[in-house]
Amino acid sequence: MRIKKEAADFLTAFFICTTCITFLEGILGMLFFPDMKLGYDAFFSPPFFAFFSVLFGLVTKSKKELTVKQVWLRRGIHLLLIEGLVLGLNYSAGAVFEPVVLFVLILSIAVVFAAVYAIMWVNDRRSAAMFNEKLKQYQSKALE
Amino acid sequence: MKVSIRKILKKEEEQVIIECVEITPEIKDIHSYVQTKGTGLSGVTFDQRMERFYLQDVYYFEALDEKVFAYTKQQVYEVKMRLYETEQLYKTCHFVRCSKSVVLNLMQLECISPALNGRFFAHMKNGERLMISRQYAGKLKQIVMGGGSDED
Repeated sequence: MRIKKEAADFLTAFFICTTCITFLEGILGMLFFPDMKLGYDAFFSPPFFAFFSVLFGLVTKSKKELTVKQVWLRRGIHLLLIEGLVLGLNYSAGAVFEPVVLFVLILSIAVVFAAVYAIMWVNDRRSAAMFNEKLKQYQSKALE
Repeated sequence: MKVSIRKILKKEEEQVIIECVEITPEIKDIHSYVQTKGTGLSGVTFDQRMERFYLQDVYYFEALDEKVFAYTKQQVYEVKMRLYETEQLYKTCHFVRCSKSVVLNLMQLECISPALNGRFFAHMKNGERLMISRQYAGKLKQIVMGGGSDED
């Protein structure tokens, strides 16, 4: 059951990430490279980055119970890995960005990163609300 | 199933007799429930006094440094049991494991809220906050929400 839950979490994060990256690429492209023409292969870019971004999330996993500080530290490493992946691939593909574009790109990656975790947290909050409702029923039933 | 109660005079002679054709899992549940309901436990307080307390007053059991402690509203008791024993023995009394070191009483649970990394906080009725680890969150949800849990 745990593996199933992990797989479901992976897929959820992947699809949220793909959506966010698609929006990010669209917005940044319109702002900084409005005349650039892209081929069909560009469609594979969001799921590609999403897949590796979520895969890098393995650094946040641990068999041991992590403290809040450890969780934040690992999330920081996760973000650095994603930034490294995006900038590294762009650099190796020969892309040269102006400092402003580079700064906006780095910031946007961090925003998408935070947005994905925020959406997943909201999902967990919905799940907790459902649990709390059932808990009240469970407790009343047990007291009957 | 027919249920009857007969009043007697002496407290020490109180007993529950189950008459059944066959010992089914339901009968075992009733047996286990009766055994633990109103169960008096013994524990040692921090000032080394041996005291009796009721299982239903326990918010949670926690294992710390090879010792197991029972937390009630008034007191913390060291109990002579292993944590897995509290989990197994009191599961019919709504006690469930929520992390490697804690077995909590669902009847004393106020609510849960999301924490980091897919984990949840358990907010107890005494205001304490415990961590529910990912490993046990699914089981906990299954017990409370039944088969319809989104963890299945």
